[in-house]
Amino acid sequence: MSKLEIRNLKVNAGDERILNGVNLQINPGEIHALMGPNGTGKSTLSETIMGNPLYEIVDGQIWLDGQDITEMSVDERARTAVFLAMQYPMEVAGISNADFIHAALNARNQGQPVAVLPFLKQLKANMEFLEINPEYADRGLNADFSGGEKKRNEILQMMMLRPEMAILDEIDSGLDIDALKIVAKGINAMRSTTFSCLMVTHYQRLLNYVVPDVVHIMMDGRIVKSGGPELATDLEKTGYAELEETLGSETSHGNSLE
Amino acid sequence: MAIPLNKTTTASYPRILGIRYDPAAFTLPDSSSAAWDWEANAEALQAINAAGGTVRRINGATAELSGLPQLLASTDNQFVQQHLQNPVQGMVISLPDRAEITPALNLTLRTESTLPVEWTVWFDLGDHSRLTTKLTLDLAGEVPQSNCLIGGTLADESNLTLITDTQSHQATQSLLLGDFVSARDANLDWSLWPQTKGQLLGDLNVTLAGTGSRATLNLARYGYQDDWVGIRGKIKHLGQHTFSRINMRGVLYENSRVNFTSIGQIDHGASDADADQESRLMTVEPHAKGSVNPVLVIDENDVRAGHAASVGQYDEDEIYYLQSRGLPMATAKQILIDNFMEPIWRLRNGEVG
Repeated sequence: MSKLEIRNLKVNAGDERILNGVNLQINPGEIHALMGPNGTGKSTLSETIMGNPLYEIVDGQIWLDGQDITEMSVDERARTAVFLAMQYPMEVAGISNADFIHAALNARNQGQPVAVLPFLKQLKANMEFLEINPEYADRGLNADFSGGEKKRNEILQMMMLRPEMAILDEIDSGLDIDALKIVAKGINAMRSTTFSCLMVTHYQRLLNYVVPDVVHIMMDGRIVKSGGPELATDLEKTGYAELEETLGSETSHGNSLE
Repeated sequence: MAIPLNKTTTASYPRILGIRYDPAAFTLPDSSSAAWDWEANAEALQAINAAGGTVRRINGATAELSGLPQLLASTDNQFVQQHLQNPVQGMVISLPDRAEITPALNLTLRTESTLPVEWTVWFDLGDHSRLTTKLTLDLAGEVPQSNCLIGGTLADESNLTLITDTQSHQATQSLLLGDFVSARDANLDWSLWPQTKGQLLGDLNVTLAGTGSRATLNLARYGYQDDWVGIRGKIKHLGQHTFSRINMRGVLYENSRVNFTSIGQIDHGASDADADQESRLMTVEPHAKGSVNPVLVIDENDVRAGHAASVGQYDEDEIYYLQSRGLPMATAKQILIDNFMEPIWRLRNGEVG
């Protein structure tokens, strides 16, 4: 069970400020959606939670179950609870998909080997559930996978590793409607009181299949509005420009955006 | 006796492009009397004998070996000359025409000596013959220097798959020489893992003399503390419709130095030749250094030739991806190192299988 709290998070990429004070709380069992225009800092937030060294936290904290994780290395965060489904998963042909997932499970198991037969059984079941060709277990990690196959493979890894906190960075990008439904099925299968999730997306359509508890809108490196699933539906009709205009007007009247 | 070094003879030592080395470090002081043994799997030996071939130890006989006198007469490589002017010690594997040997020959030469070692392993394959050999040269003792020549002649439409591992238990000065000549439609697949510690100078040559002959040279090397490695692989195309590939990969740790030079040479008249080479080094630690030097020497118009080369570290994005699943840095690095070497191992293991 993981509760994520982000307080006044300010992040630089090189010399450029990307996040300008993000505040966010995700309670155990909740699924949140994070939306916003291109270049507004959504992926930066995702990568910063995971600990990508390309991003420098200049202020603020990230707390997971009351523990400040900002000083933890990437792998420590992963072993603690965090999983990031990446926008562009890497290809590593020299290790098979199955061996890689098994190695990751071993690492999360205090380095003790996870029994192979139950692992393979679970892997097979999850691959069937996600309609992944069984031969892909023995292929190199993401090697020569299509974009959609890589996204499904990210969900497979999530289902095998069973993190308490998952961040899905544009998991729906590049998916056709059938693949989107399968990915959504995987996310919904994870739903429980011990699993919380932040889904970064540009489009409402993912949220038709994975209904979030909370939707956040990010602009200029801050979360400027939060609400229920209807916020995404409204945004689909009006677009970001109108929201920006409204928020600008509110700002000029002295209202806080957060 | 070793050939004395002077300015004239030094000039005829192989000019390995991009590799600076001291010829004196690889010149054996005298002919070797080091004791050594060999062993091979009985299944392959029986199959070779049944087909009319032989696997035998040699000591001093060079004139009877197909191709060796020609090599001595033609080479300007002083190391080869020196090697062949001393009494030849080593193994000869010969197959008559149309001998197709199914079980792989696992041949090991081993010494526990403290003296310099000179070995020759020579293959003589008849027309349409076929053999797979896993050759291990094991310097198990405190061998200060070694000079090993691996080569042979491949007759028309013969096929040799050769996997060569060299290893030493302590730092040594190793010279690894290779010289194969392929006749019409003959094929050589040669994978090398030279892992002797210390200084290693390699000069590996294949001549595609016959029309349609083919050769692939795959080499993998890990460099560790104080290792100095300079290896040149050269495939010369003389015949028409010939085909060659050179693949070299190395991973450098600590303060090792590894230098690869690959040469594809297409002589005039070798029309429709196809030569390609790829050499890559991964430097894992900051004090390791290496270079790769791809060279194409082409004296014919109607050919295909290409090369790729790189020296670099592992990809930080890939490390991050692996760590994001919980793998510690050391494990993530090892996966990427294995991934980097995988193309060579795949070729090597495919050949064994």
